[in-house]
Amino acid sequence: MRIDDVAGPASLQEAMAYLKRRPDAVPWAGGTLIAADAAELGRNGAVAALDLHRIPELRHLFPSDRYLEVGACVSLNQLAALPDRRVAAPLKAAAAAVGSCAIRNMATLGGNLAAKARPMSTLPALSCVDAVLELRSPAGGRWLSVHGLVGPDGRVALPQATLVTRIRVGLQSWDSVEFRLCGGGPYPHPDAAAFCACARASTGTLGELRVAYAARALVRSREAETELVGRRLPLPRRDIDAFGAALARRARELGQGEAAVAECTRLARAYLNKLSEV
Amino acid sequence: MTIDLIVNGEDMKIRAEPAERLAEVLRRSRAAPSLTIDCGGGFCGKCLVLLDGKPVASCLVPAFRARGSEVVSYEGFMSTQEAAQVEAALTAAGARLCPFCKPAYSLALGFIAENRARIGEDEALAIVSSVRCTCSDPSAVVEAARALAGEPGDQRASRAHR
Amino acid sequence: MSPPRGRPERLDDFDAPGTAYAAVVRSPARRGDVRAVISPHLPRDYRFITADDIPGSRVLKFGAEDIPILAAGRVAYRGEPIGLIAGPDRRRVEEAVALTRVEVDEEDPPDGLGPFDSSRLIDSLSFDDGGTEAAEGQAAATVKLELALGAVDHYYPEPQGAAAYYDYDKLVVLSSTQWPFHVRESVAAALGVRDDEVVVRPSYLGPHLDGKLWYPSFVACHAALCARALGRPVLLRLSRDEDLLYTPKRAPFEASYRLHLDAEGRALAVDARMAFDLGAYAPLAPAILKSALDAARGAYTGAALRCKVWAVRSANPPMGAYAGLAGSSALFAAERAADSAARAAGVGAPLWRLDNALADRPRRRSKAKARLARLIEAACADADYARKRAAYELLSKRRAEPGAPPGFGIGLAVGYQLNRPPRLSAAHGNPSVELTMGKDSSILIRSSVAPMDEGALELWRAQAALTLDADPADVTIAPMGTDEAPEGGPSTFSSGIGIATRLILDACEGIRERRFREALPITVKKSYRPRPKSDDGLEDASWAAAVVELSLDELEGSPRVRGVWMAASAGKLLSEAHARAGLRRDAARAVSTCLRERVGLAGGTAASYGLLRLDELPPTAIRFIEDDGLRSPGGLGELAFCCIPAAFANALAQAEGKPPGALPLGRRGWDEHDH
Repeated sequence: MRIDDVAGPASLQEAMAYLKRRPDAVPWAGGTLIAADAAELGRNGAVAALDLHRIPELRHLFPSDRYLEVGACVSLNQLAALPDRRVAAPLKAAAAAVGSCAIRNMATLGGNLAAKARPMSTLPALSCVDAVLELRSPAGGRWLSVHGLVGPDGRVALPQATLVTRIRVGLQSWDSVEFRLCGGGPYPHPDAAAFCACARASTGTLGELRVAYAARALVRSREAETELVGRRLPLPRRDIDAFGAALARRARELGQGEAAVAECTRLARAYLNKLSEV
Repeated sequence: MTIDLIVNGEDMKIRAEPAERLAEVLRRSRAAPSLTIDCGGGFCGKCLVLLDGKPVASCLVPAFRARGSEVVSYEGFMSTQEAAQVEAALTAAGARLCPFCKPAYSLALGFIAENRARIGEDEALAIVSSVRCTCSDPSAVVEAARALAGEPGDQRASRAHR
Repeated sequence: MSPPRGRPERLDDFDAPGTAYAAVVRSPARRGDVRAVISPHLPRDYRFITADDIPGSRVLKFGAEDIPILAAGRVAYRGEPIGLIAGPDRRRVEEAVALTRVEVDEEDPPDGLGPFDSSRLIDSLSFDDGGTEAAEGQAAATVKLELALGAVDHYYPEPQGAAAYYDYDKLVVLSSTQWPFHVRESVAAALGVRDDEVVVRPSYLGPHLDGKLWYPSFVACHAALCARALGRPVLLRLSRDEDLLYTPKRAPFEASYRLHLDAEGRALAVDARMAFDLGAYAPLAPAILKSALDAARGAYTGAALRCKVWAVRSANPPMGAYAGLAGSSALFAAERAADSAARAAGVGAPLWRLDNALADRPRRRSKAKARLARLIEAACADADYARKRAAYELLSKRRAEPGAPPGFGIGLAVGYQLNRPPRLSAAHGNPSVELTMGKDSSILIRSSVAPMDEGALELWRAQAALTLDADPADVTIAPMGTDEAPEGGPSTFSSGIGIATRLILDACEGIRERRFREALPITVKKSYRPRPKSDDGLEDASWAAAVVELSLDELEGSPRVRGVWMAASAGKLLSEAHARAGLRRDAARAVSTCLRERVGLAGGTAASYGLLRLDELPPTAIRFIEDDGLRSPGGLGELAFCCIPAAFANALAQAEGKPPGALPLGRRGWDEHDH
């Protein structure tokens, strides 16, 4: 990897000014993915690096009663260390599962989300909690659901010269949360994957259900989730089978290999079976 | 480019390529000769340093990212009061570490000792698990980490309420 | 030319004025004819070295195998070294290697251990004591297993490498090696010089698991060729990724194992076929086959044996020894069969083993049998094996129910380690030591066997001081360089140290007997004397029993090891703390090799190699049984690898209700990237 220019802005304004000049610049948060996997750069030749770690508002947490806004350069360790009441459980589980403590001290939520080569492990968690993202570019800023950033191929498609600056996550509690790193090997193995699922139930009835899996693409079927909301627990086998089939269809539509299809289906079914204990 | 940084308390100006790994910069400039560069992917943790007070895998840090930062390597750690505590904890646990991982483990354990007011056993285990080496009895390193960990305020409080 | 500063422990600390760096140009193809090698233009003080630049032998000779030091014309595996680029700037050397194009008319060689024809057969061994055929007719039941063990990495503390420099008329090689004298011979042969013109100084070795037996000689030849070509010191260090992909691993293994049982469920006969994928070159094939054949029955020596073992060539990098050649693979098969036999016989696994282990020797005449019984009882008691096994059997019956709890399993296995050095080639000598008490009563120990680390050296010093009533500070152990140590064979993992320790103790006794009768200095030499072939070594072996308990993740179904209990007997313990630490270290590795430590030979990096982290390792309890019958210290290092994988597999079989398939598990169902 060769870097022919480096900018270290001290504010978002400076960062935008640089991006206007160098729209091809590579935003560099923790940089752990780029350093470990050259495929993350997605190109040969020299690149310009936009070092974001000096921008104060990207490194802060902005809590409120109902949600938490996370600066894109907040480290995964910082997130994982938050008390349970201050961070959504799926996100906390995903942050804590990445790499080792030393890696999590550098790795950031924004960097993990915006990974180019393929979805990384926080994406299923952010999908499950319907995270909302602030995007900033030289043309301006906007808020967008995380699903709006995921393209039809199931991968995050951040436009050029655009930064994720904040990630907003609701603080609703969940009765059941599961997160697993899975796939063909640990990150950065090309077949690494992550699974996240959460649910709420009340008086034996399923109130909310989210199930997401990301290997080479984010796999989730909201239609299948909605189908099961309102059902009595434990879920009957035919409903679990139908959910699994819907997820498998979705995974195949996204071009996932049969190993990924089998794994996400198996995990989803196991999770729904387990919901009988909620 | 020229990287201005503080290494083990000394101001340094080092010429480096922007993408050059901090681990390589530290070794070739002889600022941290104890540092081991092994997997190159942050997996083994043998290149651990403290960057602005936090343990990181220096093979994942590009030189440009270290501008203006403070780096503490094993060489700097050895002159701290935690160094003796770490050595005593390792000896008491019977840990015999190889020259490839001892600097990294010592730094990780030193970080735990220095921050024991807020680092409990679970977090101490997570920190020291940043390093992977096959040279020695892993339970001895874990024992040393637990001995150096504290009992963070919230755990003390919850104990008091039982 | 100035020599390097100090005597570095780590290769990366090699620091001589003017040091140049070297890196390897490798084949991108698994097999084929090299059509072209196109390298970038190199500046004046850089060199591209190929086979044509080798002044002496172009092959590393080991037994019947000739391994090209640099491939010329034809390549046999992906990653095979074709050339070397060396120069003063490490980065430029690496860039030059990355820019070098190697074009190969790639073939599609058959692979794996499936049906293979004779063209892939390297060697085979067979044994038939004539009892199996008769037993087949008498057997009331037969256990049939198909087993597989995949490649795992040795993951020694430092990747392979070497440094070389000229010190006046000698070439000095710094190498992390188990066999300094083989490095010396190989480098001398490649350079076309005499052995005494090359000196080898070993650097830190650490727990090598037998991964640095011969390959360091290969790398040392590369470093030496570069030093000769450049006329300056050269450091060549493989990256961890290169080491993971291209250096020897535990040889992939498949076995078809039949254990015939009589009406009472006792072992009548073993009929085993075992095959090892030894890669493109197999220097250790005869020794690997012999170790597997010798261990084919495991502890169940009362059974008749018919066994055939094959070494198969493939387009993988050379594969080979792991923690004691291949005995651990054969023991794995035997212990899996033992568990299945216990189930078929309707008895508990401990009882079946107690009844059938070493059944060819009467209990009162076999201390090993009594020892093993105590080990099984101890490990099972510590693990609460019987109660848990029964409880998990009940749980397993509910497996099919919706909402059933995840599977749990607990497994037992036994294993042994012979306290005799394997014979890797006819040329090398037996381990030897030389002890000298000087006029000032100081003690100098010279050993042909290099310990892995400082701990063993401290033990030797302490024992010598104790025996000879000296201060440990007055005991010196001579460095292991080829100009300093007695000539000898390889320091194999564990067995070498156990033997060398015995020899040192014997030599100390020898000095003690003579010191007040003869004038100082006194020198006593002791060499290992091979046992007669009729002695199978089991009475003198180190033994262990291991229990592994695991549970299955309720979502993924992947196993989490909840605990490991080992009971071991290895003769006199010179330091229980040292022995316990070593066994714990090895137990952690053995567990790790069952799980995610999968070598993706088609690609993959060190960062995705599944070595377990500290916080992922299970609690491990170790108990030692000392035995008055074994007064000498024995080796311990192979024991964990001989029994923990089988105990793990036996536990997994209970948890899943079916045979576990190949180990390491990796991520089952994701095989397409691995060979």
